[in-house]
Amino acid sequence: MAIDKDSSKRPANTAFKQQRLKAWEPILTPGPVIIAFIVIGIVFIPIGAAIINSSNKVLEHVIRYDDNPNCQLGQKCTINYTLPTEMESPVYLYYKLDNFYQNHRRYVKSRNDDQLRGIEVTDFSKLKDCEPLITTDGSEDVNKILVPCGLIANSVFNDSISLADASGNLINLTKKGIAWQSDIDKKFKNYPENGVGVINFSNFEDEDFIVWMRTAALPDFKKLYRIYHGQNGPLSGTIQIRIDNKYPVASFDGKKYVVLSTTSWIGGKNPFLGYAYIIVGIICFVQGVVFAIKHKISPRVLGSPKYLEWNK
Amino acid sequence: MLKERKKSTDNGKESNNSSTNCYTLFLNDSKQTHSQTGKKFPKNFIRTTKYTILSFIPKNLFEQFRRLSNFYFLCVLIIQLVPQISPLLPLTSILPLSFVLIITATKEALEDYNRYQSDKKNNLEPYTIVRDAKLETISSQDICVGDIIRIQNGQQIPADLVLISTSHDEGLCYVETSNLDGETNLKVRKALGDTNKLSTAEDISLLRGSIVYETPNERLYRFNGRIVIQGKENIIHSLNHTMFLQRGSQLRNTKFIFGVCVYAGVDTKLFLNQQPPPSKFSTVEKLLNKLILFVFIFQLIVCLLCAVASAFYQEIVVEDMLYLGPTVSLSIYGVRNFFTYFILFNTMIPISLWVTLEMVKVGQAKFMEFDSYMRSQVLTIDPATGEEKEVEKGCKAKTSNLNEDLGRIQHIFSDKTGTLTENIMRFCKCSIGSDIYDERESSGSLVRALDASRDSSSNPKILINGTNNTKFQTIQSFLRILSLCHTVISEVDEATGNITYQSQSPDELALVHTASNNGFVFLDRRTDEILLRENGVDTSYGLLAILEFSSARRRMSVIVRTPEGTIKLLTKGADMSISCRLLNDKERNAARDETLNFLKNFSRDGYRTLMVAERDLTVEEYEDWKQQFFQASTSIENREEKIEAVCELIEKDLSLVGTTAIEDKLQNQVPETISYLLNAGLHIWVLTGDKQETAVNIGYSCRLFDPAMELIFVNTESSEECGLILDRYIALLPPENENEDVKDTQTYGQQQMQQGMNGATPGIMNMISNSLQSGSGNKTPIIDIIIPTLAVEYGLVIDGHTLTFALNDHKEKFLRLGRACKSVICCRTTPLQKALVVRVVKQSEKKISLAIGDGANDVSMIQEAHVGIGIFGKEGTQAARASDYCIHQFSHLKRLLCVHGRYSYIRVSGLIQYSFYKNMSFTLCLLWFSFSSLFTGQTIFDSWIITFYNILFTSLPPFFYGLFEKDIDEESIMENPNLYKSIQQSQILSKKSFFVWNLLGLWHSLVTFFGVKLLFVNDVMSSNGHVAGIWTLGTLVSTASILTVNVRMAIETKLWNYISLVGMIISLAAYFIMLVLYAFFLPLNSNMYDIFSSQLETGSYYFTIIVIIIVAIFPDFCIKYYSRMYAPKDTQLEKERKGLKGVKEYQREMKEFNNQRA
Repeated sequence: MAIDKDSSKRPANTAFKQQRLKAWEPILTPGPVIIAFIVIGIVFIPIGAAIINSSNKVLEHVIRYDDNPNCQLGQKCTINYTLPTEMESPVYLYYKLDNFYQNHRRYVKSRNDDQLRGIEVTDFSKLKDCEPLITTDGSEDVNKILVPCGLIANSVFNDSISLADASGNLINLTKKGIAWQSDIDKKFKNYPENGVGVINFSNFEDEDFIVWMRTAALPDFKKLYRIYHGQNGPLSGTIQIRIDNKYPVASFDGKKYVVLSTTSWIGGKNPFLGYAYIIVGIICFVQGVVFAIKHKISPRVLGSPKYLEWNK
Repeated sequence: MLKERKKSTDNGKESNNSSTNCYTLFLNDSKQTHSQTGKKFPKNFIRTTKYTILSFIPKNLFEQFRRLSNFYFLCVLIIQLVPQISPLLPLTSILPLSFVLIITATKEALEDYNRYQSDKKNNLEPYTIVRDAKLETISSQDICVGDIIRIQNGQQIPADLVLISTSHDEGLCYVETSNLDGETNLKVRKALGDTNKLSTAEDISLLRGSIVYETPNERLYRFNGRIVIQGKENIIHSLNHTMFLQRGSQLRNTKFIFGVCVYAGVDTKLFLNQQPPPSKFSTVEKLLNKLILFVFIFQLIVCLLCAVASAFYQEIVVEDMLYLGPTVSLSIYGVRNFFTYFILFNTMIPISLWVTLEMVKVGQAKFMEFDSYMRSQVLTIDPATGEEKEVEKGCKAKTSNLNEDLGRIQHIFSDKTGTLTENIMRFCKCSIGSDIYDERESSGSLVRALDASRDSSSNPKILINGTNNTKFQTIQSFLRILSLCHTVISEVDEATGNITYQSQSPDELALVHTASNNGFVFLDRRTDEILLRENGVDTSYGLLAILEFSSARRRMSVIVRTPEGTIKLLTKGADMSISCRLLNDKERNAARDETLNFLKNFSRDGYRTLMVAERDLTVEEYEDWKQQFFQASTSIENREEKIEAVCELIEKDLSLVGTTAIEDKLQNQVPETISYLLNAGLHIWVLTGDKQETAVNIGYSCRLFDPAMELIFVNTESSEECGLILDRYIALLPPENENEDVKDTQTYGQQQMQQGMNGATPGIMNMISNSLQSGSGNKTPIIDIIIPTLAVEYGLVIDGHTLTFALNDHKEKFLRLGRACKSVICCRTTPLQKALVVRVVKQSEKKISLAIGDGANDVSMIQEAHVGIGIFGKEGTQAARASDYCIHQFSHLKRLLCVHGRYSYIRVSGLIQYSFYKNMSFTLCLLWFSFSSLFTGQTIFDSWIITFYNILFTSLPPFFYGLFEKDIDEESIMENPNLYKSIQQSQILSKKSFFVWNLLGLWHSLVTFFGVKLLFVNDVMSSNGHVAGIWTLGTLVSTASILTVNVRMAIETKLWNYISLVGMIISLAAYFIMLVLYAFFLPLNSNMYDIFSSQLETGSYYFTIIVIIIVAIFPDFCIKYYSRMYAPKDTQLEKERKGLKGVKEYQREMKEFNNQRA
């Protein structure tokens, strides 16, 4: 084959081609590094303190009820609870489940989002994700399609919880707003009453349902149940928690709680973020001081030729 | 006019007898040529493409999936198509794998299309053939064996031809073979006298006969055959390479020729030599394959443990969880989960690494070619006009596979002539009788001596003595031999009358020019005649025979008939091939000894030497010898051996006329380059065919040897002796020290003491003298050298004869001695020995070797070494064509290794380790999540994020790192050879460093995942009381992970240009744009809808991300700062000096330091 004939024109000697683009070559020197560490320490510790302070302002009360002898499965009961301090509104009422794996792979995928948007899905290939709960009897009969289908929708938490004051008067709790607004707006629509399939439940816009359908990340999780907006002033004194215990968790060592909580700008009560900042701040500050002492005691002259390897 | 047209019975018998191992064609009888049983000649069609349109897709896919990593990802994809198993959408494998396959396929398609276009052009080139007594035009691809083709001046030869006739009366034609071997000098070919008469298509079509010749082979310059021309009497002629025209040659200085096609298409020698050189892989790439295997095994182990854990939890826990639906068989469940985890963890191996690596290496190779410091002015011949002109050309990277190995070379094997030297031979001195003439000091010294002798001889009184007359005749004989005994071709410029010479051998050019400058001008060469102009008088010598040079014979001769009618054999060659054939005569022995002494002095001064001799022949001697020579020339089998034996019969009883000394000048900057490379810790071996004295002197002049260095000479005649010598020297060596740092310190310290010794140089000279004296004696030379105990650096000199024993019988000892020597010269080596040395050292030392050469002799060692460098030179470009990288000067090697090689190693190592780190830190988060999700293989990352993690969110920063990273500027590297040494000895990429990087990935994954999980101690994350879910957790982890790995790259990068910055910005922006897109395309994944917008409103998210990044980066940053401050590398120190102190102060300090050190 013919030799490739080199072009007699020389390529332009641009900075790019000669690998001489203008560049910044940072050099780690003691001053900026030490200052950076100390500054991080000085900045992080107050942030951590602020976060802890905000977290401490959050009032949270966790009350377990499934181990209460008066609240066995199938029973209705009333638990008297005395609040040590007033809870300014809004107060959020949560139920909390322990050892419940909403993050099991089979569980997470067992749903059909089109059906949840109110669409009558009859294509079984699309309903496959709902396995193992697609039809009532496992057949491929469109008239027996479960509405809603899937493991998540068929294991909705169904205990009912209400609050009353010491005198037995019901406290007004709000259901609206417990779900994400985007879920309400975009992802859940009611199923037609006369639609195809066995309709166990068609009110997909129910916010309790929507809250449950957003699967939790960890086996211990809380779900928002009701909100108290303070029509009767702050919660205080003794309150009655009235529970209808219908949801079985004993077979898998589950636990059920009622949680009353306020929030702050960082969300719920969680001091760990603040502690993390303080610890990191302390470590950075100490490291900066150590570097400074080291630099003071045995400094190395930057750029001195006596440290060159071939000069040792 | 030939009247007899019947086929000869003898001819038929010959065809039948030799049909098994010979080809036969019949002139002007294509029917009979192609109807021979068992013979099928290919057409001249040529195809070099790998694919066709139909075969491209299946074949390219097959080739790509033969690559282990691609095959692995294909398996992942197949498993992922099973819905019950896959935790992710299949697109997480389809998109990245398609991306990779398409890029590689596109590259292959473009390359193959270029080959197709080139093939098409070649195949459709029109040519004129003789058919049915007239000229007919056909395409190149339609030419068949037996066709007689007419070639015009300037045309390429389309197939392998045997010359029938030319437009030249003598049957001569000239071809240029640069396409075959890179040689631009013209070569002469000659048609047979019996066929050269045929100059028209009509005449040629009447030619009848047959040609029997050897089967196709790849030997470029060999052709053996026999032609039988039918007529009144059958005329038989031998055929050899002197009338053979190869495909790819170009016809020059000749109006036209006719040739018969003997090899076509795939049988042509050009095509048989088209095979690509063997593929080479860099050591980094080999290590990478091992590392991938390690990661794969680790992945399998993790998958197995997770599958077992899933079965365990299924049995213990899940059985009681009614909300999870009915259960399946434990074993089925476990096996299925194994494959689920296999898919989940497949991102441990970065899929885009190979593609990124290839693109990065191609870019690095381009930077080598762009480098203006590796460009030089080169003389080239314009193909259109034939004029010489100077153009600037640069380095050529034939491969980018070996870029990073250039950064860790430890052994260099170098040719000498044309590689270290310019291959411009310059005649400097000669000795004739007892006189030495210095042609360099004063050109024309011989002709002046000739004139002086002639004037003296005219004096009647002195003429009686005869002394001056003898001198006159001897000088004349010397010059006559120089002007007759060669294969140089002359060209006369018709406008100016100037004569220019061309030859394959620069030595011959120098000799012919010298004769021309001294009154003996070579004018022209014809079939049986050589024309000289002797002192203005045109003289014709009959050319009776040429006994050609070969590397085995090491001499060439011509037999000429002088104008006086005497027959002479004229010879020139290497001293060892001439001196043993000289006439043994008492009177001549004295003169011979004196001449041999001159010759040794020439060698000691570093010149290349030749002996010049002659002999008178009687007519009977010549005629008798000629018969034997003819028989040997016409034999088909073992022809070379037979010719060599016949030449021995007549090349004897020679009379020594004189010796020549030719200088081969060093290239520019060669001593500085070699000095730098030696200081950089490289071992340099020069493998040369020269004599020992010549080689040693070149070694000193190019600083391969230092005057303070002790030289070890090993020259023996037997294997036993070789072993003894090696044992003796090894016993004197200091014990091998494995700790190189300590060794370097000792070396430096003792070097100071060594420089204080004043007696070093005389000692060396004494050794050389002893060597010469020993060599001149009859006894076997045994060098007994006392090595001073203070000496630390050694140089080794060994001749080719001894090298054979050392490599075959005493390999371990030889290598032990070689390791102790900083530089080595192997003299009198053959090309085969060069390759053998490279192979033996390469296999034994486990270090990266580089071979550099400029000629065909160097091809085998260039291909044998880890990296082969070719120098475009005057001996042609065969070395360059067989090499991995081509440069124009030896001095460019310094920059190629120490700048480009070093940078490539740093960049490629960083790219590979970072790629695995970022994938490990991302993927292990899924493992940690499994502990919280009963090991069911649930992912926390959306499939789209996994898809684009490798090919978009984290791909640009390492890519630009691979292209642009520099740990120190180029000027510092070029000034400090120790910077290359440190990179050569330290392992930037090794199993250990790879492990450390992946430990870092492990740490980052732990910090990232558990940092976010700590936040999820409370699900409530915003002031509106809303609760986060699994996809919020996953998105938060992926955000922290992507930010962390990019910050890690930022810390690792030592040189920031705007491209690097833009790359990082694009990567991060792409990720956040992806999160935004989820909000606009609900069907993309409804799980991810609104996750990002909710995060933006949550203050704790920002604080979580910030603290995670700082915790992850903290240990690495502290270690880096501490090591740079208190255990700095030389690169750090050099960078500090330049960056912090300014250039002027830097230079002043450098001067002070150097003065102090000296």
